Amino acid sequence: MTRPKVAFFSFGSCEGCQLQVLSAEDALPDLLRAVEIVNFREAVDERRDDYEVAFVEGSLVRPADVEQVQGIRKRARILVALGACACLGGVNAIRNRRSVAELAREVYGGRRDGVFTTLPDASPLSSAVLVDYELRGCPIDRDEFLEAVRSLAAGTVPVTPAYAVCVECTLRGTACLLERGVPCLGGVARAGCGAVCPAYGAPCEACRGCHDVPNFEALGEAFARHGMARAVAAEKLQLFNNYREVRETWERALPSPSGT
Amino acid sequence: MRRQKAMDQEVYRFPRSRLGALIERLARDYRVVGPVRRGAEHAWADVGPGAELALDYPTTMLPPRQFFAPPRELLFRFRRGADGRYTCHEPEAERPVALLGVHGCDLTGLRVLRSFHESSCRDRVVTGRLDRAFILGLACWAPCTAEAFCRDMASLESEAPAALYAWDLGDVLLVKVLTARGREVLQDVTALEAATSDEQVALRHRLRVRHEAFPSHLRFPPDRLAVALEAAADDLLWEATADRCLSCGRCNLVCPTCTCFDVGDEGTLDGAAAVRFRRWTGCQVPGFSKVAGGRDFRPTRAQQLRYRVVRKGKYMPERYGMVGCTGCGRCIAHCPTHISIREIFRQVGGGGGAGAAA
Repeated sequence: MTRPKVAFFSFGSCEGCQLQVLSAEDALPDLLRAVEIVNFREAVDERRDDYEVAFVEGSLVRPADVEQVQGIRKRARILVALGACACLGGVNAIRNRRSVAELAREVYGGRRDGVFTTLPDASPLSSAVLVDYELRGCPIDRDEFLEAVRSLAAGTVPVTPAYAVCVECTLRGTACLLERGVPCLGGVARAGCGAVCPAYGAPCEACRGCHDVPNFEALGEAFARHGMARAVAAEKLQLFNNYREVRETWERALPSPSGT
Repeated sequence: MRRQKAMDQEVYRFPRSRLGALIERLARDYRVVGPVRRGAEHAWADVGPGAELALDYPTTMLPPRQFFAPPRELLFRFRRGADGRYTCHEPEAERPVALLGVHGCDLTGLRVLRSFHESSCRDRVVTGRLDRAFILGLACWAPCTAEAFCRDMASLESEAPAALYAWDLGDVLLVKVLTARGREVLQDVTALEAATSDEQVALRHRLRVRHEAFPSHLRFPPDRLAVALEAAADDLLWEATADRCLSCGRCNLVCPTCTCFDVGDEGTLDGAAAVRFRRWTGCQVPGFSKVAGGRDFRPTRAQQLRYRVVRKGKYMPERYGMVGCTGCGRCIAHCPTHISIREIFRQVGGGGGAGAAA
C-alpha cells in the first residue's frame, strides 16, 4: 500500500485542531506509517505541493485566504475541513454582525491602514470551495481524526454522527443539564465529542454545529420549560453558529438577544 | 396464565443484614450489579466495596437491558494475515450477570427483550445472557416518578424472569422463590425460615395500600392499544406532538424495550486489524431511517414519532407477543420537552369507543 501524501493548512484559527493531531502521541508512529506528510507548517520543515489529501483548519477572514484555499482545492484530490472555524465559521464569525469599519475603530482606534484587508464576513471553507469531508468540533476529536485518516487510506467514506449530543450524554449516564436549569444546546447540537462538556457540568455550546434535523422551536420550548428565556438559546448559539447561512437556520425560531 | 397469590408459594424471611452475604454468594458465580447512588441519581452499577446497593432507589435513567444488549458491544475482531487472508476472533467469554432489585417495569422489559430476540433475529448472544443471568426482583410500594404508569401497563406486579422476588418490609425482606436456582442461592445465605404470621399480615396490608398509591391513568387495558392506535393512524396529534420533538433520541435510549442497533467497524491505521461492534440507536435518532443512496424511508418527525408509539403499542404485541411499553415512564421523564407516551395512549384510547367506558 503506498502512503497517501497529506498536507495541513490553516487560516483564521488558533491552530488548536492541528495541535490535537500532534498531541495524539501514541498514534503518531502509526499515522506516519499510514500517510506521508508533505506540508505541515506547525510540525515539519517540508513544504511540498504534491499532496492528495489536504486537512484545512480555520475560517476565511482575508481576501488572500480565498485565493489560497482555491489553490489548495486545485491540488488536493480530497479536502477535509478541520474544526469549528473551517466547518462553520466558528468563533471568528461572532464579528459578522458588525461592520468592518466599526470593528476597525474598536480594535485599531481607526488607524487600520496598512494592517491588512478583511473580508466582510469570517466564513467557512465551504463558502469558497467544495469541501469533501468535515471533522467538526472546537477542537476536533483526536480519535475521530485518526478514524477519518484510516477510512481515507482504505478508500472508504469517513462517517461522523448525524445525531444530537443528547445521545452521547444519555449513553454515558450524564444527568440532563437542562433539567437542572442549565442552558445546554445538546438537543440541537451535533454529537461526536462523546458529550465531554456536559459530563463535567459544562453545558453544550454546539461547537460541532447542529445535527441533521435540529428543531429550534422545540429547543426554545425546552429552555422555557426549564425556566430559561428563549433568547438565552439564541445567545448561546451565536458563539459557534453565527455565520450567515448557519444563523439563518435558527434565527427565525429563536428571538435574538438584544443588541447583537 | 398461571397466577397465584404470594402466600401460596415458597416465601421466606430474609433479614436485611444478610444482603451482604447474598452479594458475596452471588459474586462467586456472577458479576453482581444493582442500583447504586450517583450524585442525585441512581444507576445500575457493579456493587461491592465502595458501591453500596441502594434498594430504596426510585428508578434509573438507563434500563437494565444494558447488561444483555450493551450500548456498545464487540461482535468480533478480525485481522489480515501475511497471506492476505482474514481471520476472525470471537470476544472473550464474559461472566454472567446477577441483577439485584429489579422493579416490575424492568422485569417486564427483560421479557419483552427476550420476546424480540427470540422471534425476530434469533439473537443467541442476547438470549444466552438472559438465560445465564440471576435476577432478584423487587416490589415497588409507590410510583417511582410522577410519569410512571406501570399499573396501567400491567407491569407493576410482574415477577418473571426473576429467580427470587422480594417485598421490602424494612429490617426483613420477604422473598419468594421462583426458580430452582433461586432456591439454591437463597438456601446458601439464609436458613429458609417461613414468614411469621405478623409479617404475612404486614405484607397483605402493604399490598392493599400500594394498590391505592398507584393512580390509574388509562381507562383501558394495554391489549386495546393495537386497535386504538390503528384507528388513530391519521390523527393530527402526531404532527402536533412532533412539533415539540427535538429528535434527540433520549426516549429510545432510556426505553427498557428498545432493541435497535447499528453495526460498524473500527480499525488500525494500517488496515490490518479491526473490530466489528454494534451500538444502540433508535427510530428517533437522526439518520436512523436513511438507507443507501441517501433515501430516507421515514423522513418526517411526525412519522418517526408515530412509529415509536405504534411499535410499542401495536407492532410489538402483534409480532412478538408482548406490548412494548412497560409504563416505566422513563421516556416521559427524560424528554427535554416532556412528550408523553402516556398522554398519547390516553388520547388515542380515551375518545369514545370501547376504551372510554371501563
